[in-house]
Amino acid sequence: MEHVCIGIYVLIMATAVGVLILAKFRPQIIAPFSVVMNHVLGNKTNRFALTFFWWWIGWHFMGSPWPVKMD
Amino acid sequence: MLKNKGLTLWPSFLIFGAFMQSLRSAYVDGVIYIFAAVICILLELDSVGRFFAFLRVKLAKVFHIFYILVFSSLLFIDVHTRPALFAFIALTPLLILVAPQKSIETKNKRAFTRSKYIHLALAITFGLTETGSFLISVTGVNERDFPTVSLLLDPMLHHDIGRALLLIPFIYVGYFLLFSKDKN
Repeated sequence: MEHVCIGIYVLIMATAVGVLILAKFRPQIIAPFSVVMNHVLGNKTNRFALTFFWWWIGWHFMGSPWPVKMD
Repeated sequence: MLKNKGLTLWPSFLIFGAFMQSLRSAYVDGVIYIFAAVICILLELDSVGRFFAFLRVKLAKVFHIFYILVFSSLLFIDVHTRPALFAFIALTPLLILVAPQKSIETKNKRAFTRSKYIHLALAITFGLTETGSFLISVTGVNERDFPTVSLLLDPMLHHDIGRALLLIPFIYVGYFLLFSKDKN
């Protein structure tokens, strides 16, 4: 099952990269990600919530949940 | 006036997130999620929104410098230590100081809608996979069989080069989320 699960993550990433490349060279077919994000971030609650999630990802991966290791 | 949409999507999502955090006994994270849900509701109040917009205009330059300094310092701080924790706490006020931006009217509506739904589908697929893996792992099944992204990235985070590779895009995207502006 591990490989299936990792496979889904890889597939999502590969699709995202594919869409990014397509949007870069064919913006008339798919609008670039930055355009969509700028539209979404036009609302202050969206902006706060998305920034919060991004902050939390950093906190989760590179900060620390309690208990904090004492060096 | 409080708008209904501010009381539905994000607060509901964040409260669900708080519940998921409590499932893995991460109560501090759960409290932070509840706090964020409350701020989402407050941001829908016009008077509160105007106050944040006022602060953002007055303190914009200071916060740009502060953001770059604090996030860059994470490149040199060990993961899971108190200094790293305090660096993230120091960034919290920045998250509250967000202001409304003008939304961009795209010329090609069809391409925009297509792109929006493709990205939404990818985000939902990712979210369901991650949530499913997480729920299976907390039920006691061997967590390596259903790894979350967190578990997969752990070995990378414990090497300086791997961590730097993750931190640099993290800082860049965070800067975009906080300070991006309409260039049209």
